[in-house]
Amino acid sequence: MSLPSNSDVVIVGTGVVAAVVAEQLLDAGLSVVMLEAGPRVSRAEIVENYRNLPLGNKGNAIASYPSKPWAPHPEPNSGRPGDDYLQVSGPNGIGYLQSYVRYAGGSTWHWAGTSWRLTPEDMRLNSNFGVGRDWPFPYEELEPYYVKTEYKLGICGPSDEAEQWPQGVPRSAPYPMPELPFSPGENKFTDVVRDKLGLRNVHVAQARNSGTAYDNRPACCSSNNCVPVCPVGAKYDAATALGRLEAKGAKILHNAVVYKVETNAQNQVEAVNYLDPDKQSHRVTGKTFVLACNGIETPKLLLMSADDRNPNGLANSSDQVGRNMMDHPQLAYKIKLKEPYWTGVGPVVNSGIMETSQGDYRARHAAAYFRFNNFAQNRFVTFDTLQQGLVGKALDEQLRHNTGTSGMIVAAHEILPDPNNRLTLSDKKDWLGLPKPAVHYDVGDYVRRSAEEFSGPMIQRIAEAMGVLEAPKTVGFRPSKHIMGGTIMGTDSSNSVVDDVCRSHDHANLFLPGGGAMPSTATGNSTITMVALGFRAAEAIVQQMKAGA
Amino acid sequence: MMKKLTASLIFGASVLLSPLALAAASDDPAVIAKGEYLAEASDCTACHTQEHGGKPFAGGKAIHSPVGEIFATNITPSKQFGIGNYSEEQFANALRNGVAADGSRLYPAMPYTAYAKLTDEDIHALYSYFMHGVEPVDNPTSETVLPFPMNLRFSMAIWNTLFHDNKSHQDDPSKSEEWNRGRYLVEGPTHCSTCHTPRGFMMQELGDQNLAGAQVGPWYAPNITPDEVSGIGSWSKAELVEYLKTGRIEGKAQAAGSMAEAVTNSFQHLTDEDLNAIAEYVMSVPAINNASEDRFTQGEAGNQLAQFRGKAFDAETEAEGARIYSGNCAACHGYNGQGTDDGYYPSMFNNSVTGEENTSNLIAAIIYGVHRETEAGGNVFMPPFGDQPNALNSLSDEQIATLSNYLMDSYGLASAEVTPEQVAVIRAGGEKSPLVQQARIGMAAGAAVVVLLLLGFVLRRKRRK
Amino acid sequence: MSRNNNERELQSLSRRKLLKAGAALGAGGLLGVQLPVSAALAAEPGVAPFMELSRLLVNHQLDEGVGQRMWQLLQQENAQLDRQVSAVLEIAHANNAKIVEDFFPAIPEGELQDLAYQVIFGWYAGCLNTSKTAESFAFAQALTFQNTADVISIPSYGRTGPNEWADRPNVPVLPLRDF
Repeated sequence: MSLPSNSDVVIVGTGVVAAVVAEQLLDAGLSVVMLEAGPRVSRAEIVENYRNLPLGNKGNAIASYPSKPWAPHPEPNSGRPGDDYLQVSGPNGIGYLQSYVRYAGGSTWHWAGTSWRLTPEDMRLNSNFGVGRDWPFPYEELEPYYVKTEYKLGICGPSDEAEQWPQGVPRSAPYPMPELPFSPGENKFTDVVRDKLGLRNVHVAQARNSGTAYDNRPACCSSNNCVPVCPVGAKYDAATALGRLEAKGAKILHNAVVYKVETNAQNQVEAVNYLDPDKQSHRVTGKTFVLACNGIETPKLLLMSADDRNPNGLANSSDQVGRNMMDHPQLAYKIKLKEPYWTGVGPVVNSGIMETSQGDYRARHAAAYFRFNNFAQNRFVTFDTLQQGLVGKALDEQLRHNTGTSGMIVAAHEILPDPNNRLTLSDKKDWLGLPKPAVHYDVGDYVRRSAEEFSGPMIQRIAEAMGVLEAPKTVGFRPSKHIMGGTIMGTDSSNSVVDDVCRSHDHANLFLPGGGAMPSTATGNSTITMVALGFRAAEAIVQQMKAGA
Repeated sequence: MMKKLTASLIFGASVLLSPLALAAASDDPAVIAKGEYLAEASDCTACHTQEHGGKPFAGGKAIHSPVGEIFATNITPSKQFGIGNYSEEQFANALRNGVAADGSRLYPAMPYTAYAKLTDEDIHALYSYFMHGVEPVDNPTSETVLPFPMNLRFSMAIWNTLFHDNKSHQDDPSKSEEWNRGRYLVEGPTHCSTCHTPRGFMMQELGDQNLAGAQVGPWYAPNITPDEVSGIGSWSKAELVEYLKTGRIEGKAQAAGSMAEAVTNSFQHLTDEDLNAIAEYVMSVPAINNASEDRFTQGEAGNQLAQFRGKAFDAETEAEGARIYSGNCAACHGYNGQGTDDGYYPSMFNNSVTGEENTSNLIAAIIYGVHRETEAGGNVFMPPFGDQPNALNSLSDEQIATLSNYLMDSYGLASAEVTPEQVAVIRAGGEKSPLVQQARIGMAAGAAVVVLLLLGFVLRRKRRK
Repeated sequence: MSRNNNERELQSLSRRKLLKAGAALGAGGLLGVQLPVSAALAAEPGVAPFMELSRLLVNHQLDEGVGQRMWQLLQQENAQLDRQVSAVLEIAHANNAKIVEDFFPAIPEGELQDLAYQVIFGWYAGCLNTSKTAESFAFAQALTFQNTADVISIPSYGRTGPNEWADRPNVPVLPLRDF
């Protein structure tokens, strides 16, 4: 396929941020080319991939998305191209063994759809508590972009103000769809934590069609498979937008691995170069460039693009590209309940105790929120039960009992930006000969103190209130797959990579919207915040191009 | 010149005969409300309001007919672009005879053949509604240009002479009030026969096949006579009423395509009395048998999962149809084709779509999806699998044929066959009528005969000299 | 250790009504129509006794196709399969067994008991072992999911109309589901 030369905007990536930015630009009359490293796949294939996995691998969300040799994504212990792709190190390296999807549509293919907003407090950590960084603008300025995001993706949420997040901060528009119903287990959990602990488990806002079709996609039918894939498209994932983008005139090129972003003598970005599966290189020019290809791949690409003018990598005069790698360090606890709760009806994440994530204690340790996951538990209990040697009716009863009384509670923490939590280019090469990314990660004392003094004890209290057979344990900090910080936002170009509309400080025609821009993480899934930043960036691009033209 | 003469002759005649000549639109809210109800019953909006945010009755929607695209006109009371200047007389003439105010002819895509049944009183109410209850929209609509010779609108006069009965409804005193009301609604405003009655070569309804089933673009409007095997004779009156209200009878049938539109825009708004009257009448028309199998009771649960489960998605398999079903359909319709327990997602068996010999609806439902919205039935949505931007997955003609054959074999009428060519025709909007081509050939042949006759005449005269 | 406890439990269990034990290809019912995986596989002499044994060990509706796939995989890793199946079937017949509780205690520890547990494992898990690379032959039909399908979703299969799962009660473990 021949690409238009010198499109208005070249976008690297086809994930949720890229898709939203692209649509805003197309609607404003700009021409858009999108370059996707991986393949375009059908939903049916992914759904069948999942169903074809043996029971022992069904808990592995990335196993339904085998990566292509030219576009590896992390696939630990799989023997696949992505097996040894992301090199992690540091005291919590395993806590950063992230999961993302290098296919057209990106990682929203397998996200849970959880859509927490930041709070005003979350955006002023430094002013409020003397830790971390402030956002360069207040919540009020971000709020209208959250609304755009919620209507674009189709986000359902509670109409009861007492359940809305942030609490006590008026929304400028209602949610487009009402909250989804709880499972029996979630109802019981909500009652228990309220009655015994005085905590509020609220319906979480989520990108899922609730009670009705929306965005020409069907309603949720409780297939409880959001992770790894929604079989019917009731959950928003960026793959659902691609057909519409193409109908609006976007040119999308798949299996095109961008490996170098080129600058000109004025240090503006002039072109990107990509390799195809035949390892042939191609060059694409444009006027404005957007890199929205994932929180690991975007800084990696900037570093790979180092040239004489930018010896430390593009957009990197601050030396912050690849630094401040953040996530929501997660502690997961399997629980064995005394009485059946029954999770597995409705979506896999449907609620959370978020009120615990605010407070003055953040001067001392990380905030945390708590959730009772809603996955059907069959795959977690089957092998253990079968190994007990039961047969017949006794087996059925035990299996049923274990399924109904098994669960998982999770504590998800915020983390501070630490320049030593850093992504660099390792000297290992992938199939195309490009450097594999390496991340050094330490959750830091701020988070460890939280686990010790705050979240750990809270989990035990919650478990006890629920009625467990034994005190739950965790295997330690694991990734939430919310990759943030690698292209951090700020007003001071000496210690930040992008400005408040995600424009690179160094290159006026380069935008880096996404999780990488977030200066603070709070505790909830970062997706709608990333998309809100995408809307802001798109607005700035349109303004900039119309002014420049 | 000829066109205007003919038109004014007809116009003059109808003026002489009609008591509506001097009637004015009523301001009475009760009359206007009655007009609104009748407009819903007649489903004016289905054609005259553009989908996805068109202003009510402002026209512009393209109706795909077998002879080409017909654009519905603006029937808001706009004086410049709508019917704002129509007298009630002219309004009635359009509804009953297919004649517009300027004398030009309407194609029977506008079902005036049915609306002719409307009583004067109801016409008056409709007129009042359109004049006083609808917002004028000052937007023009596209011109309809059908291929020659269909673009000769005056030819519709001949067609009307041959095929149009413009007498309005008369009660049959030997039947109940409910039956008469039902007949009035069915033959008049709700114009069931315009879809459900097969048409002859000149596209006229075949009266002796009334409601026995007909193709409507990519969809098939099935036999709804009370025949026990090929019609809806196995339905109770209550079921038919429920179907009209919600578009669904569990374990039997669901409305899609134009019928889903009709349920959403029209039937769900009718009173229970009217729906019962419609059911009463429909269940009384002559039963016509044109199928050997009952389309509601075919098939049973089952699957071919073991043939491909656990193997690579692109591995060779003989169960390709089952695999397409599994990946694309089973999440809603069940791994055994059983649907959901609450019946919201229909089963694939005991389903008139897979039980029907005419496979159009199966193919069309896959390509176009289903969308109905009723108060009683909620928002019902099945995504499309064609080339739409929101297609859940774009399936090829081959894939849809394979899938359809699997569905018919496993869950429906095993004898039915679907080919990729059939799928392509449905994808393109249904069969085109050969009428255009034949008319042209006919005209060319006719012209050739005239030329030959003239030539012969001239030659003979020359020889005589 | 736990197996001894279970033996005592088995003796105190009341008999269950057996659903379609040893039935030929069924039409209708929960399973519906079942087609063989391939004519060749269906004709393998080891398959029928394997299915008979399966139905005795696992007293639920079992899909013929799934059984053929399982037999094929078991056969590949266990050359003694048909002989062992025969031997266990003999024990079942000797005990006039209709359900698994009738004869399971009589199966001696060792290769025969291992086979019995393996067969049960396969029907419940839809694969033969716990590894991440095992070949799967059943998912929705794997009995661990069927066991709870009345209460919770089988992942990737829808369960109700939009938001119709609201206010479902929190059900006790018993009664067991018929499947």
